[in-house]
Amino acid sequence: MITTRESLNSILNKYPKNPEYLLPVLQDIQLEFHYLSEESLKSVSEKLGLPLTRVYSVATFYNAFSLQPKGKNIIQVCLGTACHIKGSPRLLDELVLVLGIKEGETTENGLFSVEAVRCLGCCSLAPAMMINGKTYGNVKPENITTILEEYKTKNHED
Amino acid sequence: MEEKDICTIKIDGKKISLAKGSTVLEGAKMLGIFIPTLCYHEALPPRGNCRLCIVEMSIVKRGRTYSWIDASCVYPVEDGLIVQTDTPKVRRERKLILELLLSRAPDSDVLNKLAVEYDADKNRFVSSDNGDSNCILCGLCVDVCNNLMHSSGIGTAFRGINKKVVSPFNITQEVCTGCLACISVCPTGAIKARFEGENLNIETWNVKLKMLKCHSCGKPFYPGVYVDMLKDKVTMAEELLKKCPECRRKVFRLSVK
Ligand code: SF4
Ligand code: FES
Ligand code: FES
Repeated sequence: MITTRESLNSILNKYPKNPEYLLPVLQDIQLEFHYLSEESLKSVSEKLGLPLTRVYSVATFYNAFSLQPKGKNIIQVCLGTACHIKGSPRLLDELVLVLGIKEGETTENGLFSVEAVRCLGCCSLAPAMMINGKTYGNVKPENITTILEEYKTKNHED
Repeated sequence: MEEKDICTIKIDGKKISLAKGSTVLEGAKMLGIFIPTLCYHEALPPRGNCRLCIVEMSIVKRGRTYSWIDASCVYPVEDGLIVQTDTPKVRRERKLILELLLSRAPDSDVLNKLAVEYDADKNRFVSSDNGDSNCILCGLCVDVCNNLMHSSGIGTAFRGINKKVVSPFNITQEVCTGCLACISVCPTGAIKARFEGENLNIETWNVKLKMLKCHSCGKPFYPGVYVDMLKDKVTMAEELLKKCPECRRKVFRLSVK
């Protein structure tokens, strides 16, 4: 069993003591733990020799980082112009019904988080959404349950 | 200094020559011309955040006159620049800026005084935090704490309309020496602190520090951690450092008698 502390250390040890590496370190931690804990931000500040105020500024500035624990699977629904016109708000509505959580929230079992994003860069597939970096195009509200099914079982296996 | 390093400009009709790299605001100060500022502090680099110091500028280049409005605290002087600090246009723009700033800091005395002078409507805009913070995000407190005092207790966090100055995870307690530099530079009086018995309580940053009692008169005078910090920075006998400024003066007076 690798402890949280150990995996945090192995991320920190990959980088030299240089403020330049702040973003990559935070990205790695976000990827591994799905959020940036107070403990991890303090360790980053010690390791890179940066004041915590600075680390905290950066961690709270970017939407890619979360200071609250996020779900294993991140669902990003596009609310960009093209997707909006093609009815993507209805996808969000459907997710509320299926998962019982609103945009920006995480299911109680920690399986799913729902986020709204502005343009995934694939407007021709509108309405689009992305789960863990995988894109789904021309999504219809009635398809959502089928798509999510895959991620439910995926998690059970590992 | 060589001639090419000098710029001659005109502010409200008065000529002044300044070294290249100086700002319009510095020129105005030397001439004794008042320009209202909020985010400017002589101890820190100018930042151009509040925009209150805007002035009208114009210059003639290749036979054409260019005019514009810009923040004087960050605008570097240029040969032939003509500056007007108090035109109706400038006053109109300042009024709008004040109205926006007042939505963030409705309780600020400084802003309310300026509002009267510029006939600004305090209730014109509503800010996302309803003015609860009284902070206009000028950045002075963060700069002084991180770059002059080197305490790094506070910083900005979040962004856009959610941006605020914070003590991250309230951990400021561990690094704050209670120097109160943040309060001394804050233009709006947004940072709240109180002396409560033997404690200094900086409510805004959630910091509580124990005051040191003067070794002579017993009066609490500076936070203990502040005196510890001074030990490394000033050459003064430790016994003297542990006395309040009042008693320290007494010792000095005796020594020169
Ligand atoms: S608290 Fe005061 S000094 Fe700090 S950013 Fe806000 S207005 Fe400026
Ligand atoms: S608007 Fe949704 S992908 Fe561009
Ligand atoms: S004083 Fe110049 S922008 Fe604030």
